[in-house]
Amino acid sequence: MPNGIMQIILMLSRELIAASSTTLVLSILSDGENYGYALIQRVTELSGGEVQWSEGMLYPVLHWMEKEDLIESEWRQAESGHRRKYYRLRQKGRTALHKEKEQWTVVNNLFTKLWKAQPHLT
Amino acid sequence: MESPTPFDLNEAIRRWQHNLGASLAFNADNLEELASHLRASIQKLKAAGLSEEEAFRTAVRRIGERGVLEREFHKVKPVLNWSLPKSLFWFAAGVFFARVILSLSLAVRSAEWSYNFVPRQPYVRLTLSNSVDVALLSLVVLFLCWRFFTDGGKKFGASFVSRFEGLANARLKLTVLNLLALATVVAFLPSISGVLANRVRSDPMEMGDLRDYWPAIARRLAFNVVLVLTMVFLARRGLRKIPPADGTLHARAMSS
Repeated sequence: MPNGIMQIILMLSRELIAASSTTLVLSILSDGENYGYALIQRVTELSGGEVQWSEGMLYPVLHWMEKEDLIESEWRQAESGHRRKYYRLRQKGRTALHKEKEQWTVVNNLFTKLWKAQPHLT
Repeated sequence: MESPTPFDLNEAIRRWQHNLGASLAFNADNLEELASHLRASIQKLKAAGLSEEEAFRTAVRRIGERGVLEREFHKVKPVLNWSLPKSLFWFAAGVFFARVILSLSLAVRSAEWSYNFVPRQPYVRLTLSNSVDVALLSLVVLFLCWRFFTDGGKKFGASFVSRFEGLANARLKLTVLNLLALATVVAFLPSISGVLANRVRSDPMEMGDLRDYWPAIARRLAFNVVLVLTMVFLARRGLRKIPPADGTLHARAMSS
C-alpha cells in the first residue's frame, strides 16, 4: 500500500491529494466547524465523486493540523447519544488558508493561460 | 432480530476498536473518533438500503486496513518514540557517572579512615565493593556503547525492538516497560541500606550513634529520589500518549 498521508482512488494522484488535503480541510472548515465524516462527505459530494479520500487517513491529517495550531477540536454529544469530535479553524489556520488560496490561484491562473493557448491539448 | 446469532452492531464496533487498540498508534481518543466515523458511515449506508451487517463491513473496508491506518496515525503521533532507548542511554550514563563520583568519594573517605584507624580490613572491603560496583557499571556502559554506536549492536537493538513491537497487545507492552522501570528502581534501592550495612561492617562498635549516619543516608536517599524521578520523567515522556485505562469507551459502545 502507498504510504502517503492520503490516497486517491479515482482521478487525483497521491501527491496531489497530499498537497491539497490540508487546503481542502481549511477551506471546508472556513464555512464553519465540522466533524471528520462530514468533511469527507463534503469533498466527495463537491467533486462529484472524483476526489475520494481513503477515509481513515483523514484523521492523522486533522491531528497533524491540530498539532500545528491550524485547527482545534472539541468533543460534543451528537443526536444519537454518541460523542462526535468537531474541528474548527484557528487564527493560524485562517492565515494559512489565505496564503494557500493565493498560491493555488497562481498555479490555477498559470494552467488556465497555458491551456487556453493550446486548446487542442488532451 | 430473531436469527440464532443476531448481528450486534455495538459489539462488532467494540471488537473492531479492541483490535485497533492493540496497537499503540491509537489512543482512546483516536479509537472513539474512528468509531464515531464508523457509526456515521454505517448510518448512511443503512439509509441507502444495506443491512446493518453489510453496512458495518462496507464501512470498515472504507475506513481502511489496520496496518495502513496504524502507520499513518503513528507518523503524526509516535506513541513510543524510539528516542526512548537513547534517553535511557543518557540516563544510564548519568547514573554511571553519579555512582562513580559517589564511589570515589567513598573510596577517599575509606582511605582517610583506614589511615586514621588501626583495623584496616573492613575499609579495604568497602573500597573493593566500590570497585566491583564501578566495574559492573562499566560493563553496562560498554554494552550500551556497543548497542548504540556499532553496526552489530544496532542490528541487535533493532531485532530487540522489532520483537518488542511484535507483541500483540498494548497492555503487554506497557507491562514490560513498567517492569523494566520497576526493576531499575529496585536495583538501586539497596544502596540506601548499603550505607548502614557498610557502617556496621566497618565499625560494629560505633553503631550506637545513629546521627552519624543521617548525612550519608540523606545523600543516598536524595540520589535514589532523583533516580526514581528521572525514571518517571523518562517513562512519561516515552509513554505520555498511551491512553489511560478507559472503561467509558467500551461502556458507551455497549450501552447504546
